[in-house]
Amino acid sequence: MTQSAFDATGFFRFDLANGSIISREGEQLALIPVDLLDALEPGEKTRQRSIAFGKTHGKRFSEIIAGLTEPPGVENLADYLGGLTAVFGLGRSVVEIRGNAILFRLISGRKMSDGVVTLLTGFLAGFMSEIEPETTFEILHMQTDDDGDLFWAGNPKAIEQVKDWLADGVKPMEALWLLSEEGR
Amino acid sequence: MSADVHMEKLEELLDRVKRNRLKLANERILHPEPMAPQELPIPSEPPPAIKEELAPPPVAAAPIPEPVIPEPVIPEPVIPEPVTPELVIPEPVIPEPVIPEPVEEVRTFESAPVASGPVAQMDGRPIREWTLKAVLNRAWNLGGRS
Repeated sequence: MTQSAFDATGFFRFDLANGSIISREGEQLALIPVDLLDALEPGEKTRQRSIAFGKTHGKRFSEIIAGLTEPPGVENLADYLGGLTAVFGLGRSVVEIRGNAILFRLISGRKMSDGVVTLLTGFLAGFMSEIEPETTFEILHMQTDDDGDLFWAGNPKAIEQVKDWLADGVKPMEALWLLSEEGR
Repeated sequence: MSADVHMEKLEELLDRVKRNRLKLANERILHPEPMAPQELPIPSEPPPAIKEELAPPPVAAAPIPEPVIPEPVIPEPVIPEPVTPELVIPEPVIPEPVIPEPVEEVRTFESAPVASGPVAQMDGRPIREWTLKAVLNRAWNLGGRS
């Protein structure tokens, strides 16, 4: 386990006297059936609040890696993000590097509703923006298959380009390959 | 013995016999004797067995009677009368008033450390040699920014 591995110990504090659950980052939470998440509206309000949710935890991760003695690697990101999505019950996350592209695979064993996809794209975008403040990564839900849901993080221009290709019938992984070829 | 004396003895014996008969009669009333078996009339002809012995059976064989199979007797179902249990009316228990204690304890959920999320390497390049900053820079510049 690396120094930045996510530690779930004491992550949730149950304040029974006040009937509330507080996360280690100070968020007030509620434990609700996961089916209720499917009722989330996939609109701008959900996206903005999900971005704020991701920023909270991205900021914490940035603080952790800033205290490391060695430059952090992708493993640090995967370790922390994997624990974070797991403890929130959002699924097991895997970081995938394809060429120069960075992708996140969420494995939850459930079919994601549009509202949950909006929640996760916003969360990942907010998380990434806190790691590299100079960037404003956007997240695109690329595909759903037997191995879970795949999200790609790219700059806004690249995201729009890939969206167009996908609309034209290009397959997600082929679109990423085209994008890397264009940049050469 | 003279004839008179003989007559006296005969009368005496006759009296004794009468007394004994009377006594026996009284005892039968009190303890009746079982009835004597009736005498059966003596048949005028010999019994059939003897008859058969005397008269040989006919040559033709007697028909063998078909076995009579008794119809199964279906017992009528016995429906027991419902037994109504006696109602036991418990005595009302008056609970003691429970005075709730103020909740001051804050419970903390502590779980074991979560397993690290794996990094999947797709193109054979050693990820460990890359810093996170370098990976994110490449990802950010993918496809150009302008």
